[in-house]
Amino acid sequence: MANMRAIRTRIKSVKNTEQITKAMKMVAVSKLRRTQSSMQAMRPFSEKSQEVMDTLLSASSGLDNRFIKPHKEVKKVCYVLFLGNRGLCGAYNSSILHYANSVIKQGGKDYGLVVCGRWGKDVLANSRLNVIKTFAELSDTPNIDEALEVADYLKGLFTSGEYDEVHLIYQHYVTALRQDATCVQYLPAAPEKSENQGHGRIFIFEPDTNSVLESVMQLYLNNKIMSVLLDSKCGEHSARMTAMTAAADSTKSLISELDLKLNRARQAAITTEISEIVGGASALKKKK
Amino acid sequence: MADKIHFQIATADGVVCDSMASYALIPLSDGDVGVLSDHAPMIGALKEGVVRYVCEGEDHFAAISGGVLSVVDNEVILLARTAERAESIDLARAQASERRARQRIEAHAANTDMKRAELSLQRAIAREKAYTMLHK
Repeated sequence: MANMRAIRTRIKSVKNTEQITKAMKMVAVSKLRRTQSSMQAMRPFSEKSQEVMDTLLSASSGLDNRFIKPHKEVKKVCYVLFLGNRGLCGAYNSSILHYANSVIKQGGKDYGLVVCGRWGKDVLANSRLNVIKTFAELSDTPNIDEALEVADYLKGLFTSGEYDEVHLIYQHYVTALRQDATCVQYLPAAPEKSENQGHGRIFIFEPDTNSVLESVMQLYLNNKIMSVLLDSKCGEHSARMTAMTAAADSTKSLISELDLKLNRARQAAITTEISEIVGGASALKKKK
Repeated sequence: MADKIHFQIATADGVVCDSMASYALIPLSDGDVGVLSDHAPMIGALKEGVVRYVCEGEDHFAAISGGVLSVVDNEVILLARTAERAESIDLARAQASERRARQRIEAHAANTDMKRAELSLQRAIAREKAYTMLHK
C-alpha cells in the first residue's frame, strides 16, 4: 500500500511539472511572435538606411569616418556576448559560451568581454573570462532604447581608443529548430554596398558628406545592435520553445509509465487480498 | 496629389508616421530646412528637435533625436534614432527627464558621459517643445 501512495505522489508532482513546462512553452511562443513582429517592424527602416548608405557610398569616394577607419594597431579586442536572460532553453547558452571561448582563444589577443543578458553569472565567473560590463536589464522583447544603450556604450569603447576592435558573438536564428553561433565584426565597421544601383542622381548633401556619413553610421551601428539583439532573442525563445516541448512530452511518457506501475501495484494488492481471504476461508473450512 | 509629398518617419522600432503632407519643416544640423513638393534630391543629417508637417491643412508635430533625412521624388523619409509624435508625448515624463539630465550635467560626476547627458537633455527639450506646439 505504501508503494501505491508513493507512486501517486510522484504522478502528482510530474503532472505539476508538466503544467509548468507547458506554460513556459506558451510564454516562449508568444515572446517569439512578439520578437518576430518587431523584426518585421524594423525592416522598412533597415531597407531605407541601406539605400541612403548606397547613395552615399556611390556619391563620393574617400569617405572618412571614425567608425570606419581601423586603428593603427590592434592591441585590445572587445567581444560582445549575447546570452539569454535565463536557462531552460536547451544548449542555447552553453553552446554560445563554448563558441565564445574558442573564438577568444583563436584571437589570442588582449580582450575584454561585454555580456548582454542575465544568464549564468556564476558560470561566467568560473570561466575566468575578463568581463568588463554586463547589460542585465535587457528585456525578452528588446526595444530601441535598450539597443541604443548597448550601441552607445560600444561606440564609446571604440572611439575612446580603449579597444581597437569590437566583435559580436551571438546565436543567429536560422529556423525554429536551428541556431548558428556566429561572430561578426562590429567596429571598425565595413558597410557594404548592396547589389541594386542607386538612383543615379545628384544629391544635395546637407551640411556635407562627412557629417551625413557620421549620422548614417550612427544609425547603421544602432541598427546592427538592434537586429542582433532581436536575432539572438528569437533564437532564445525558439530554443526554449523546443526544450519545453520536449520536456512536456517526456513528462507525458513518464506519467504513463507511472500509471502502469500504479496499476500493477494496485493489481498486486488486490491479488494478495483475495488470496488472503481465500486462504483464510479454506483454513476455517478445514477446522469444521 | 500633384503638390503633395509622401512624408514618413521611421525608426528601428517601426514606422512612426506615414502620411501625405504638403509641407514639412525639418531640423538639420546646420539649420531647419523646409521641404515642399518637387524638392531636389537631398540627403541630410538630422539633429534633435521638432519636425512640423502640414497634412490636409493641419499642423502636426513630432520630436526626433538625430538621424538622416532623405528626399527623392517627393518621398521624404526621416530615419531617426528615436521619434515620437506629439500626440503620444507625456509632458510630465519629458519634464522629469529634462530635470534628470540637468542634474546629471550639473553634478558633473566623473562616471557620467557628458555627451550622452547633453543629448538626453536636448531630446527632453525637443519633446516638451513638440508638446507645447501641439497644444498651443
